[in-house]
Amino acid sequence: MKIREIAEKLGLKHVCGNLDEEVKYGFTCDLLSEVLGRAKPGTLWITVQTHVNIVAVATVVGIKGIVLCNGHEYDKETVEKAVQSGIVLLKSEENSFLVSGKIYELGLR
Amino acid sequence: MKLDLHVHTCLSPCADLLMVPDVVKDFSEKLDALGIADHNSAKNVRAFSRVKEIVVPGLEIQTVEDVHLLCFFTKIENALKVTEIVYEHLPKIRHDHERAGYQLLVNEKGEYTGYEDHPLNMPTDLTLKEVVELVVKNGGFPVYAHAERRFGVLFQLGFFPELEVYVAEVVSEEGKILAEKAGLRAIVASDAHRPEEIGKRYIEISCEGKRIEKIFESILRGEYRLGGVCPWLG
Repeated sequence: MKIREIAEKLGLKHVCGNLDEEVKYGFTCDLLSEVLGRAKPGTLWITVQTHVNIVAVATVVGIKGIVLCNGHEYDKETVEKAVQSGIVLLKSEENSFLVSGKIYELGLR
Repeated sequence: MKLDLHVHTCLSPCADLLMVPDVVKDFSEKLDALGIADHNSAKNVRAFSRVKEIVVPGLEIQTVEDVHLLCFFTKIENALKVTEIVYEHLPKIRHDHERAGYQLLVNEKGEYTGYEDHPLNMPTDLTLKEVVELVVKNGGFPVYAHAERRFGVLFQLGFFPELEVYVAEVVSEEGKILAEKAGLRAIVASDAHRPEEIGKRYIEISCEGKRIEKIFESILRGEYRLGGVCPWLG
């Protein structure tokens, strides 16, 4: 599924990145080590972490996009790195549970 | 004695490449002592050990909870020994210097001697408790880094757990109050990643002699005052 479809259906705010990237999986977690160890390539990652290191983790794992929940803001440096690394950044005012549930309903696993 | 305990070098992937010994020396003229604490490594400490009369060897370990813990030692050897153990607990991936920031090893002259390929910007698989035990066992002195900010213990966990950590670096009045309420000594430091940030915040210690043990004894007794850009001090 294209990230664009998810972003539009959930009304996520697009911060940067190519919305035509394809994702197959979702992963909801705020611990970087868990994401590093368990998330799969082609994942959309749902988190409340904003630090630039999330881009490094996403790059290593092969995560295509990140959805930041609870209305948090990405650090400026995080956005800069994401642009360089081609990681899609999205934002939601809702909490991780609600966002994850809606993304699950759309078909990501 | 003016001490800025939390300074990164060009080994940290997020730090400026200019954080080499001569530049750090130039930018720390107003200070008497520095703590060198790169992410998950003390491999550059020796190269910086003569930029000041007193340089406290350290590293900033990232625990599995994504808590940053500053770990200081009296001897470089102990900091390096703990570094080797930390390396065994980092993800087994090769650091991408181009994408995630260069991790450069230098010598005392500031010449680049190599790349550090362990991913220093990643968390270890050690719990905060395990890291504290590792540090204490090796004669080290743990300090919570930027407690109430991202990757700080309060930010990550929401509270100060009961561990053998008695000092917290804070960045706000709120953090200071919370740390002191939990019975911790609150200090400030620059967390400098760029030359001009060195000494932005520091502590001024009344301390006899120049031994690192004495510095930490003074901190534990609260014999210091906060200095630098701490707007909340008024």
